[in-house]
Amino acid sequence: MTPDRWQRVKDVFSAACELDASERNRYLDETCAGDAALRAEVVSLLDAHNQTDAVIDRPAAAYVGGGEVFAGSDRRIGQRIGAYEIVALIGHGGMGEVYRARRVDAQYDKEVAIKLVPAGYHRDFVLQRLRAERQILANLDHPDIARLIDGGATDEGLPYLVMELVAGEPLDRYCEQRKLTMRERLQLFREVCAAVSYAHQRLVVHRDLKPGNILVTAEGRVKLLDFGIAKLLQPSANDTGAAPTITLMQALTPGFASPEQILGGTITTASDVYSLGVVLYLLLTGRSPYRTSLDSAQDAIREVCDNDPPPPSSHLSLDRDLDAITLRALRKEPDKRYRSVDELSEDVRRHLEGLPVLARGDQFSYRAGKFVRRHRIEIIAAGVLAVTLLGGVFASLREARIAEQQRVVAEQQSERAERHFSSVRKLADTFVFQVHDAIKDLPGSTAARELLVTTALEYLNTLAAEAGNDRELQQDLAAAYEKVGDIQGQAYGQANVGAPRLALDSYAKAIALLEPIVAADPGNIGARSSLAQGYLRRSRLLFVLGEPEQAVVASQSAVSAYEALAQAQPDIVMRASLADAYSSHAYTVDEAGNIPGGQNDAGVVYARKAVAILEDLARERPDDVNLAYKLAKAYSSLAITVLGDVPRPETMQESLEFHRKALAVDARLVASSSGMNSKYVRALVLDRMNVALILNEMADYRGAVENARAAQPLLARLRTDANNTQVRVDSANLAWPLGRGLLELGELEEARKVFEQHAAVLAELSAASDTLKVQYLRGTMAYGLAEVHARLASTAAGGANGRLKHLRLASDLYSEAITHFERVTASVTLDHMDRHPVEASISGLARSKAEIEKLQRI
Amino acid sequence: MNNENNRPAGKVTQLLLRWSAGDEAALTALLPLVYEELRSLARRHLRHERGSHTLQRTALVHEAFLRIVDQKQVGWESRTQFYGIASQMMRRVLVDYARRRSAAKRGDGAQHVDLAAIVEDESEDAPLFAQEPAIDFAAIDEALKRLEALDPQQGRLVELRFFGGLSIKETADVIGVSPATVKREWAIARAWLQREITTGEGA
Repeated sequence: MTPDRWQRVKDVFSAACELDASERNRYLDETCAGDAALRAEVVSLLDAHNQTDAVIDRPAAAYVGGGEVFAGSDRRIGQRIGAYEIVALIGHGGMGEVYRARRVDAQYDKEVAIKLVPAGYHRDFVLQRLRAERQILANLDHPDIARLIDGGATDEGLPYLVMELVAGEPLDRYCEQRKLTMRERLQLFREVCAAVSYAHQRLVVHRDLKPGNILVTAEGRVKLLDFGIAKLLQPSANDTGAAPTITLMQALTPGFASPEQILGGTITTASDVYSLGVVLYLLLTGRSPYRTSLDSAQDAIREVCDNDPPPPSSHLSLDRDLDAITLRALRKEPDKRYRSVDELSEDVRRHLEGLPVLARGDQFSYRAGKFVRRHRIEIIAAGVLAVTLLGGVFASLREARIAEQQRVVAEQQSERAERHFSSVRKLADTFVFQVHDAIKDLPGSTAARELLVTTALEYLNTLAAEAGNDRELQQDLAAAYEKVGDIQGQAYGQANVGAPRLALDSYAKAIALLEPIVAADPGNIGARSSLAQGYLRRSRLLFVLGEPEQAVVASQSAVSAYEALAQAQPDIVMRASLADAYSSHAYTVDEAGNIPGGQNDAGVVYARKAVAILEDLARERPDDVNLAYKLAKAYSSLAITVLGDVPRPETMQESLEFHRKALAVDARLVASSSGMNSKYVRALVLDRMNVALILNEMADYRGAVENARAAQPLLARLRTDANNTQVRVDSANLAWPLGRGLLELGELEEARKVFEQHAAVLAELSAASDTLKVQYLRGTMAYGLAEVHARLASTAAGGANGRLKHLRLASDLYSEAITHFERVTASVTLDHMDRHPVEASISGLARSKAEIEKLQRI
Repeated sequence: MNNENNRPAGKVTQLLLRWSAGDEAALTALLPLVYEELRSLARRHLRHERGSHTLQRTALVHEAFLRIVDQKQVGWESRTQFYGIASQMMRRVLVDYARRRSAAKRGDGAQHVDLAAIVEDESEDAPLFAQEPAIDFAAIDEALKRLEALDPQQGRLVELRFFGGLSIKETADVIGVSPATVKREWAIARAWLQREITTGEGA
C-alpha cells in the first residue's frame, strides 16, 4: 500500500465511521464502486474498530509488571479445559477472558462460553471475583440471564466458568438495526427489567448494566451477561466474609455508571435502576443522556453527578411520560429514583397502556436536589480519581499524586461525610444534647449521664481526629465537647460526676477547635458565642480547681468576647450571656484577690454590671424562669463580692440584702417548679448557706442555724441521687455555718454530729474529687470538731484527765485542720470570712497546746 | 533501586533546554539518559507492583519527567518535547527487552543493544515483567514500523499514546494538532494495528 492509497483508505474509513450500519453499506457501495480491495480494506478496519478491548487501548506501561495475557489468548485455542476445547477468543479484559468452546466428548455439540482468569493479571483479585461470579450465577436461574453450566480449575489451577454461549447483538444495536418501534423497544426494555429484577430478588446487583452486557438473540430473547462485577448485597451463609471488595480498579463504564458508582458511594439496587435509566434513554433517543463524551474525569463528574440530563423529548418528539420515567430513573440521588426495577418497569407498562405514570407526580421537586453539593469538593476529588482510573483517562503522574492525596483525604472525609457526619449530628443533637438536657435536672440521673459522657467521648475523640478542615463539623464537635465537659463536672449549677480535670480537658478541646474558626471567620456568631461559652466554662472550672489566675484570664476572655457579641447582636440571649460573663468574671477576680491594674473593687464593678443587665431583662420578661434564675445568681455573686476583703458591718448588711434578694427569687423558682427542678433547689440551698454564713459573721447565730436548717430538707430532695458529688459537697458546705452556729449557741453535741458526719463524707469525696473546696471544707470540719472538743475540755467531767483527752483531740484536730487549710492557702488567698476558721485553728492549736502543757505540769 | 546521586540531576534539564533551543547534539546526549531512567522506572514499578498501581504504571513517562527534569527551569514547551522523546525511549526500552528475551530463549545469547552501554547499575536482563508479557512488544513494534512507513504522523501518534501513555490532549500538544485530529487519527491507527496484531503477520 502506498501512502496515497492509505490516505484514501483513511478518508473512507473516517466517513464510514460517522454513519450507521445501513447507510454505511450504501456509502461503501457507492464510494468503493469498482475498487473491491478498498472496500475490503475499510471493512476489515471497521471490524477491528468495533472490537472493544484493543491491545493498544491500554498504554504499554500498563503491561509492565502485570504480565497480562493478551496475545496469549491465541495460545489457548485448541487447549482443553475440563471437558471442553477452546475454539476462539470472544473477549477479554481485566476481569477475565471469554472463549468460545465445545465439549470434546461431543455429548452434544452445543457450544459454550468459558470465562478464565487472565494469567498473572491482578490474580488474587480476579480469582476472588471469578469465584464470586460463580457463586452469584449459581443462584440465578432465569431464561434471560446467561446460565452457568459448569465450573472448575484448569491444569494450572486457574478457576474457570462454563456459561451458556449467547449468540446475539447488543440491545441498542439490535433495536437500531431492526428499526424497532418505540413500543417494541419499551417492551424489550421491560424484559431486561424483569431479568434484572429477578437478580435483585436474589440480592444480586449487576453494577455494569449496559447494552454490551444485554444481548438480544435472533429470536428476540433478552440475555443478561457478565456478572463479573456483580455483587451480592448480603453475604450468604457460606460466604466467609472474604467477598472481594470492589476497589477503584473495578471495571466500570462511566457512560452507564450511577453517580454513586462514580463517586465510590454505596452501591444498591438503585444503581442498577440508574444504569437502566441510561439504557432506556439510549433506546428512546439513540443517544447518551450526557451532553459531552465522558473523556475526562471532570466531564464525567459533571455530567453524571451534577448536571441534569436534557429530557429525552428534547432530542425527538416523545411523550412527556417517557421524559418523566427516564428522568426519574436517572435521578442523582439514589433514594429519589424508582424504589425498584419493578416499579420502573411497571411505570413503563402504565405508559404503554395509557395510564398515568407515577413519575409525573415527582417533577416539582425534580431540580431541587443534586446529589453532589457544590461544597462537597472532597467527594468530587474522590470521584475524579475513580473516573480517572476506571474510565481509562490517564492523568499525568503529578495529577495522579495530587489526586491520590486528595483521594486519601476525600475518602476519609467522604466516609466521614457519609457515615460519621450524620452520627456526630445525631450524637450531638440527640444523644448528648437532647437526652442530657432532658434528664440533667432530674434527681437521680447522674449514672445515666455518666454513661452518656463515656460514650460521647469515644465518638468525639474519633471524630475530632477526622474533622480535618471542616468548620461545620469542628463547630459541632466543639459544642459536643463543651456539653461533655459540663457533664464531667461543670463547676457550678449542675449535678456532676466529679471529674473536673477531665472536664477541663474537654473544654480545652472545644476551645482549640473554635479559636481558629473564629479567627478565620469573625462573622460566625455561632462559633464566637460557643468560644465565649467555652472560656466561661473553663474559667469557672479553673476557679473551682483553685487556679484563680488562670481562671481570671479565661473569664476576661469570656467578658471581651461577650461584650463584642452583645454589641453585634444585642438580643436577650446575648445580653444575658454578657451578664453571665460579668458575674463570673466578678467573682473570679474577687477570688483571685487582684486583677492586673489592681482595682480592688473590680469584682464589685463587674458584679453590679451583671445585676443591672439582668434586672432590666427580668423586667422585660417577668415570666422567664431562666432569666430569673440568672438574676438570682447575679445577686448572690454581688452579695459575695460586696463583702470585700475585710467585711465591715455596712458591707455585711449590703451582702445580706443581696443574698436575701437571691433567696427570694430562688424560692419563687422552687415553688413554681414544685421543687422538682434540682437546679433551683440547689440555688436555694446555697442562698440559705450564704445567709447563714453572713449571719454567723454578724453574730446572729440563731438566724444562721435557722437558715441552715431550712436548707436541709431541700438537700434531702437533691440527695435522691446517691452518687452525686455536688450534693455531698453542698451538704458539707451547709454543715459549716450550721455547725458553727450550733457551736456558738453552745449546742456542742449537735455541732459534733454535724462536723463528724461531714468530715467522713468529705474524706470519701476527696478520694474522687480533691478540689480546694473539698480541702477547705475538710479543714472547717476538723476545726469545728476541734472547737467542740476544746469547749468540752473546759466543761469535761473526770478532772484533768478528762480535760486532757479533749484537749489532745482538739489539738490533733486543729493540726489536721491547718494541714487542710495550708493546702488551700498554698493555691488561693482566702477572703476574710473564709479565713476565720484558718486563723481560729492556728490560735486554737496554740491555745490547746498551751493548756495541755499547763495541765501536764499539774 | 536507582541511586539518586548518580543521576545527573541538572544534566537532563540542561540538555532538554539546549535541545529545545535548537541544539540537536543535545538530543543525542539526552536520549540515553531518558532511556535508562525509563528502564529503571519500569523495573522499580515491577518491584512495587501490587496490582493497585495501574494509574502509576501507565504514567512512566510522566514520572520520568518529574524525576529527572527540574520543572522550575523548563516550560510547558520543553515538557511536551520531553514527553515526545520519552515516549520514543519507552518504546525502545520495551522492544529492546522483548527482543533480548526472545533471543535468550532461542539461545542466541544476549543481543547487543546500542543503548545498553549506558546501563551500569543493573543487569540488562533483570526482568521488566513479573512474568513473560504475553503482549509481544516486538510484534507491535514491527507493525508500528509498517504504519510509520505509510503514515509517519500516525506512527508517532501510536508511539505517544501507547508507549508514552499520553492523553489525547498531551498527544495533540506534542504533535501540534488539535485533539479532534488526534481522536480521528487514533481511531484509524488503532483499528489498523488491532487488525495487524490479531491477524498475526500482516501483509
